[in-house]
Amino acid sequence: MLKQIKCMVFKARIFGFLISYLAFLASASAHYEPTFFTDGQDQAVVGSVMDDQGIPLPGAAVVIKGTMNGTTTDFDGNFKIELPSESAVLVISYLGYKTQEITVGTGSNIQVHMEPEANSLEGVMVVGYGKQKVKDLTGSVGFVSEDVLKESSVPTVSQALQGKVAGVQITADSGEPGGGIAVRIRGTGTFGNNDPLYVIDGFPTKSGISSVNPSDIASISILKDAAASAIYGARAANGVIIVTTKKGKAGVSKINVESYYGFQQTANKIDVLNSHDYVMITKEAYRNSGLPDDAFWGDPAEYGPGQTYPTDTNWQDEVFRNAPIQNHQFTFSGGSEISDYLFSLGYYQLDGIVIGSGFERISARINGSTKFSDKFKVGTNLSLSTTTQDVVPDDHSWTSVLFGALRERPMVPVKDENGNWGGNIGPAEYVGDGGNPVRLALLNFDRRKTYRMLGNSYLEYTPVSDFTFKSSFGYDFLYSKGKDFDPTYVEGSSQAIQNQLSETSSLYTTWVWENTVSYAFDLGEDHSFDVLGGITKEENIYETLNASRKDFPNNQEYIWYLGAGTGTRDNSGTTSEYALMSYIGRLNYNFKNRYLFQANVRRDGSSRFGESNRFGTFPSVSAGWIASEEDFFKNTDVVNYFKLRASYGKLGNQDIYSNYPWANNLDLVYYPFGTSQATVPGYAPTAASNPNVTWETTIQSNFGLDIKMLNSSVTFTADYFIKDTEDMLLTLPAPATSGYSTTAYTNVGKIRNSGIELAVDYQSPSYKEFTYNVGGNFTKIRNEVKDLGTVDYIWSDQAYLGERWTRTEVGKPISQFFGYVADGLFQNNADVTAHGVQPNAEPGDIRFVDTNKDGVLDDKDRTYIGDPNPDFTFSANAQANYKDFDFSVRLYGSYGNDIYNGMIRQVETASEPYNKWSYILNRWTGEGTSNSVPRVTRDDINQNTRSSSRMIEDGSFLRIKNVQLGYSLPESVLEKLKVERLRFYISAENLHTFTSYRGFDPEMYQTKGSRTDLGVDRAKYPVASSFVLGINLSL
Amino acid sequence: MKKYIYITLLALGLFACDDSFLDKEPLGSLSVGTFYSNAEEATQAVNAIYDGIQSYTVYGAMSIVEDVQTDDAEKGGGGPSDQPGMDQVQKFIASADNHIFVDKWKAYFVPVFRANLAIQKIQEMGEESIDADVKKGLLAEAKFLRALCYFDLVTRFGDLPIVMEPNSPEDYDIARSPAPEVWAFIEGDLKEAVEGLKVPAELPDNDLGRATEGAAKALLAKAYVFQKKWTEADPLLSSVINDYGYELSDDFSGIFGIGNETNEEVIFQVNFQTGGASDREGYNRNGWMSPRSSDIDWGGIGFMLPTQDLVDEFEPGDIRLEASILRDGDMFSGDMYKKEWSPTGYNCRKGLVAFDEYTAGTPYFVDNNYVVIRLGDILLLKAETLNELDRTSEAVNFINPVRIRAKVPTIDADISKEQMREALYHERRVELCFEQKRYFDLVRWGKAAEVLTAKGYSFVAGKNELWPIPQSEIDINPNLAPNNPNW
Repeated sequence: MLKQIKCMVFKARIFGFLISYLAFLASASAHYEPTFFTDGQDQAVVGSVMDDQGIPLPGAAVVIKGTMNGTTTDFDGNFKIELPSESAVLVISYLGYKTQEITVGTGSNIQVHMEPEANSLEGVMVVGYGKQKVKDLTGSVGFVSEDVLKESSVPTVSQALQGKVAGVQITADSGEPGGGIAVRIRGTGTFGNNDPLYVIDGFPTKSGISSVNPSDIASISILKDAAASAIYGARAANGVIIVTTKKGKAGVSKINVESYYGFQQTANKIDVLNSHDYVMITKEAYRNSGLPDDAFWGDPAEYGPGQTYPTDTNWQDEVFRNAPIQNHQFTFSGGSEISDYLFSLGYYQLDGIVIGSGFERISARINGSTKFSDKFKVGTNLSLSTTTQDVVPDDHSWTSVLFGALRERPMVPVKDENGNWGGNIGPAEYVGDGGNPVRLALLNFDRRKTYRMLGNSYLEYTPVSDFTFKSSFGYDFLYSKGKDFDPTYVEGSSQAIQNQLSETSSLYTTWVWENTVSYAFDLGEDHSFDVLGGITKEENIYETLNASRKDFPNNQEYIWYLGAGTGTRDNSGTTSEYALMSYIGRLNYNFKNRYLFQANVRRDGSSRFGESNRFGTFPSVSAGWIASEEDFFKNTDVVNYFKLRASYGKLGNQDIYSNYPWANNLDLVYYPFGTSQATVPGYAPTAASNPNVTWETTIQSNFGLDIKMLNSSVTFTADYFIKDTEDMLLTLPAPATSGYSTTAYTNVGKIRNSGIELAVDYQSPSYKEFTYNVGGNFTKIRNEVKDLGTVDYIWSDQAYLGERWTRTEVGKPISQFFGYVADGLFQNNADVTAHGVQPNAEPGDIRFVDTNKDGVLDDKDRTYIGDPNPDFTFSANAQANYKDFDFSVRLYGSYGNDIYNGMIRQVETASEPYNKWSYILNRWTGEGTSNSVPRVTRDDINQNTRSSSRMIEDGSFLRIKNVQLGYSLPESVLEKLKVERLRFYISAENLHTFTSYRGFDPEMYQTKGSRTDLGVDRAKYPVASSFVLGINLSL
Repeated sequence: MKKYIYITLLALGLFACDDSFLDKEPLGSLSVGTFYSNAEEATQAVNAIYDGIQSYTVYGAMSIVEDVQTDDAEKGGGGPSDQPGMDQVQKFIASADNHIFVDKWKAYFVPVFRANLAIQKIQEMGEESIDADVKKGLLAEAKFLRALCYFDLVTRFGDLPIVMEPNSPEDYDIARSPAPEVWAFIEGDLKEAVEGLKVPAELPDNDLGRATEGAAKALLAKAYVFQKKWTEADPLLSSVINDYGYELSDDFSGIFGIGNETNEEVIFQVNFQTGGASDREGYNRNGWMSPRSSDIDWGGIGFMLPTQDLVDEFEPGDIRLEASILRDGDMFSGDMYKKEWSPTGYNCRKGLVAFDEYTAGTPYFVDNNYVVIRLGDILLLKAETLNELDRTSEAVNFINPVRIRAKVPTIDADISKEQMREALYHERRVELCFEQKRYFDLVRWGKAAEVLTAKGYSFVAGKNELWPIPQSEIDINPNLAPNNPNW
């Protein structure tokens, strides 16, 4: 059997040899006159080129670097070439393998072992419970290699993946260090948990990968369709991200040092009024409302530098800063034929671009394996990490530091003459709720630490070749600890007189035990099979313990321990558990190396569901046809590889709102009774329950096409998918008479995501001095709500300022913006009269459309005014190498998505004592002065600030995601330094963003704190622009 | 080869186990199925009803809404866009979608549900698990609280769906019953409550604050008054006044202040207390009423601002003015009140807590209870009842004690019935301002449109006497249609 495989591989090699040889001739002849063999005085060298298994590679190109001189290997992988000098460098390349450079030196017989390129056709890709050759894949799998991850200087894997795989939308919902990153594979399929399943070295987890150091990662596979992900069953509906960490390689021991240092800043600040203009606008608002000119502030001319009231604080300058960022990583690795090892130690630290925020991660990894006989292999992957996040209050809310910086008035000083925090000024109507944002950021201490140990150990037993039994036991220990201290302070004339310390802790432990057998065999010449079966079990316990205490003797950090408080104490704790038991199976069948078939099945049992619907079965089938292997195709040398794929399957999402959705729990409430007014407990259910809840089911079909052409320099992949979430868990509005505001969760909703993913890549011939690679991807996803049970639409679960800004309706994409339609401004009284439906309006107020034409402007005239879902997202990248320089750039963009600029709602109205954005200076002040910015008024009788199309802005953007320029020291210098590799680089993240959006940052998707809202901006912490200087050193 | 496969599959089989691995029960929480097994749990089920009426929207902060929509107060706060929904309610320009209506409607049905669940489950309890008297008392408490909610609902929304048991999704289409049927339902509950509740004197110290027989009678009497069933109301009012030891308090402010749980005038109140197991138990309306000023350490967000019209209603020398309203120059909490702190020049004083009485350091969490029914109200209702029964000269005996306490001249016994009505219109306004009484008095007197339109409010006669059923609720349950007249 083994012989047959080797024979087939050999045949493929011959084919590869022919292709490469022809291609070499073709490209060479197109550009220059070949001089393969030069005669004369030069030194001749012979050698052979083999693959990683020692099988000769015929047709590999061997070229002298910096020249046009070269040759190809013969049928036995041997070559002979004349060298101009001893220091000449040979560049050896072969389709599907990493290009190597060899300094010949004085040696005369060179052995070159080529390593498969990970995402090339010959390369293998990590898939669920195994590996598969790229060319044999029938599912839709995105792949990101170590090299591509390295382009970005970002702290988390999620950020490093942004824009790199079609169909995977990654959005920094908060730019706060350590903040939330939303990863959406093929759209938003549920109002519930949309996060993909992460599998880290075989360990499945839903608790994210922010603890994983990107520098430790060897590759990432993203399983997008049912064929690829059904093996993960009830957790795969949102796709699966498989992270494989680096391993030691056989050969010499290596030390790698990676280090960078730089700084970051906000890309954008918003123009707001200075104190002079603020007073001017405020007084005008009073006059416009028929009120006496507001006497409190006096003359605007008295405000500003050098005037009576010189304070003119630019709050954004006060809260934003240039913040340092640094990353240092040491990796020691090595191995032999028997064992391999890798140790790494990483330190990553940054300060946030907003004062008071920051993030630090210390991580260590130990990966190793050893064979203690030719049948047994054991190994361990273990990572330890600790992260520390300093959080500033309430990103994405009215009480956030950034929103505070936008609305605090400019005449308020950061600190007053007494050294107290600057605060509220003026009589009742001038008292804002915003607070001093600098005080908010610096004084409210909120530190969150996590300690995570994630690892697994495995035993592989291979009694005969191609038959493997593997048992793997993994354990995830994730301990989180939070400390939040709210000090006493004096701010202006108000004060906080009671300090408080809250400590939170949670322990999230999971064990997973997986046992699998796999067996590969052939039946005859044309039929290859690969089967896998297994049983897995998993158990998770989540415990929390929280406590708080009031009244500490002072505000110093040394006293921030619960025992030091003297006032009210409060505590709480919870525990919840779940367990999963699953059976998995897979069959791969390959006929004549061109007809591919795969079937997967997983049967999952989950403790989360009642006994009657505890088990679910998630099958998938897929097929592929490598048309380029057919005889009729072999005549063309334009297309080297052509594969059609199709898949269909069923997936589940068991990550629902509770571990016990079926239980009708009583909630504890309190009420004080008695002369002492002691609080006593009461019990009542506060949410309805449903014993029949089960997982959300997703049915997905995928059609794909993979092409390599023009000597495999051009790669093209296209996928079309339809992903139907059925049984989406929804709470429907219940009549209030039920005592609940919503029904229990029921499996009733349906959402369809369908889309197209395209990826294209061009790689220039690798033996030249100037090599480059350009690529891009494009994703278009259409989201459509198909069914919402008994209702046609669902309001947002969030009310902002008494209004709900989004609605989800059957037949439309989820989370559509909802409100009035603004139609310019009334220029004069005749306009008001002519419009008719806004009798109280005055010239300068907004004209709202009576959309239902009933002669009254009321709630019924609200309609859909915007869509947060992009028409498409895209990314383009280029890498180039010239001599010792390398360069890479990546663009990322989103087109056609709207953003609800919630900030306008608060900063435009003069009835609030908040600062305004500078555009208000272009307000309407008389007929013809403006048709877009309404007059300023104190009482806003026309409700100009009501939710309307005025708040909807185009959120399209194009971002220069990262740019990197590197220089590697030449071989000659390296030899003197006794260093294998030394590279310096400069790199910029988020260098520039092209957008017309007026907020801090257009990168926005899920709205924090909401299940239903997308794209609502309430002063989101923007993604930072960073600039770093880095070094890579290999010894 | 096969040998290995069999061995391995056998090994795999050992790892499989039965489904009991997947049995995970909720930890640390109680469930409806197993609760209600003894008197303590039954009591806790009833406690939860009290928690329901103590909520933010029922008798918490949002209890200001009913007075904001009268001539007694303006909304205040940070301008029209601060609580815009309430602004629209105040201006009588709200639509049936206004969140105030939605919130109020929803909030009242939470304690109704809890009462229904408690009633159902306690009914099912046998002698072995609960003493018959205890059971009767708890059922009476639950019914009192259910009646209180329905009383507030029917006076705000008119015809109502009568929900008598915890309903399941099959009952979500319940239709509205005409108001008279709702009143009959309320009367029925209260009659049972009167039977089952303790008199205040019998209430153990630990249970102070629970509904009593006196409270049930007072509420039943009020239900009769609202239906103009004067003859039924009369004896009940007498009983409340005479049989339970309620006294007019000499300290008018004290009725509403810290420590009012033991006030002799209070018949039923909703308790607030900071610093217990949950601070939220102290979140009442105080911070909302506190002046919106940063000059003082007791500053809040300045809602429910008294109008000049209300200030002018007080007779000279009426001590209730100072006790109810902060005016320029008044001393409070060690500070001198400045009229600049409020657009109307006034802030509400009734029930306001001074800084040194804060327990949590913020004006939002304080310990004074919210008074729902008190003797002052009952005396005036008694006077009104007698007057409507053409016993005007006797009525004087019930209005005058209230006036004597207020240090204003007494009313002569020989005034006409109409004069007595006018006197009561005035007296109830100044005695009960900011106690959620004004709006409903105006409506039941049939004077709402007349009084409010005369003062420039956009009150629409035949419409604004009731709030609308929230449109969103009609959307969910079309049987709630049609909405109230002209909504």
